[in-house]
Amino acid sequence: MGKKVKQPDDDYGKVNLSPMIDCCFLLLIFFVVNATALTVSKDPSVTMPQAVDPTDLEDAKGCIVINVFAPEEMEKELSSDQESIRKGAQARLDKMAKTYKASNKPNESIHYGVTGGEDGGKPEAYSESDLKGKNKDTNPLSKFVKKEKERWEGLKNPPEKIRIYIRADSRASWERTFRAIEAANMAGVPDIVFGSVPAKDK
Amino acid sequence: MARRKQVQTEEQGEPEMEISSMIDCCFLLLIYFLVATSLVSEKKFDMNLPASSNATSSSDNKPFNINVAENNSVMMEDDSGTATPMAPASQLTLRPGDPGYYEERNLAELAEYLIKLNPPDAPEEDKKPVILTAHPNAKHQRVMDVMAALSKAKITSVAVKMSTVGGAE
Repeated sequence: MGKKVKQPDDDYGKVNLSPMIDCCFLLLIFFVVNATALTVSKDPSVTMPQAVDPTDLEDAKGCIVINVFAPEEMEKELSSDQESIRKGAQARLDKMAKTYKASNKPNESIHYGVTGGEDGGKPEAYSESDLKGKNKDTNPLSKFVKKEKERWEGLKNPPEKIRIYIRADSRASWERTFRAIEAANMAGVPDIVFGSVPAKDK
Repeated sequence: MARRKQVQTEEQGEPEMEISSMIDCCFLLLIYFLVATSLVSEKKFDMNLPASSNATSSSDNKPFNINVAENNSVMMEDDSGTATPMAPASQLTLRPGDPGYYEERNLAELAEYLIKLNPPDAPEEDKKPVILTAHPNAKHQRVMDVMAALSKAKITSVAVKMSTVGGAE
């Protein structure tokens, strides 16, 4: 007798969990895909400039990322009196040297860093003198942008617009950023997006 | 009686899998990715830069000039040619979190001025072109401050230039 009352109780207590798990996985995958869209090309050696009220980058598709470095500022930081700043600068310099090892450039002349190809191909580095006074056929950055542009356009589903995403170090000189813009213009990509980090009001 | 009962509970328990730990795991991952995405979010400014700095502008709309000097001071020159200082000279040595850092980034005066001169709701063809000229040695951060003010005033089409030094460019 007692057993018969107990059994339906046990059945009511169970919730069907499988749809919830399905849901969770779906959300999980969604966020993973979303997060990997731009993180691939984020170079930690760039100290991003801060700005008031920037807008969200909704679509990373079709963004050709150009990193603009300020190695001389990082080297200056190595003699800072704060240990955390020294360590941070050293780590960034080491990371940069490791990433662009293939370009055979000393740290102080790595001014631009790009990574081509969908699967994050080989990173390439250029210095300011590589770009100065060059035309669209001899400027290596311009050639890179052109190549990337053609690659995006050749895809099965080409992105709506191809843009340049400039991740310039906040302490880089304007001349250095300007050379990157110039190179992009020469390659025929006038849409420029400047990366920044929102400045917080305290 | 007692033996029968034991057998039944064992049979009932067998096909069940322990899923609660998996759900825990999933949620943990989910929350991790949520947090991770919001932490590293980089924002941006969209700027449509005319292909060349000497692009022909419409004749009746005289452009505004915003100048960033070598010492990172910002000057705004309106169409009558009067220059107004918008930001003082600074070596931009403040770090994020320092007192006054936000104030240095926020060029509210410039944004207000731009909104007054170029109302955001005016049709595109009535908007006056803006030319942003910066000294080669000016800091990128200062140029970004100006871009932030421009974006606040809903101006997305800007010609950028580099001021000439000793005949270069």
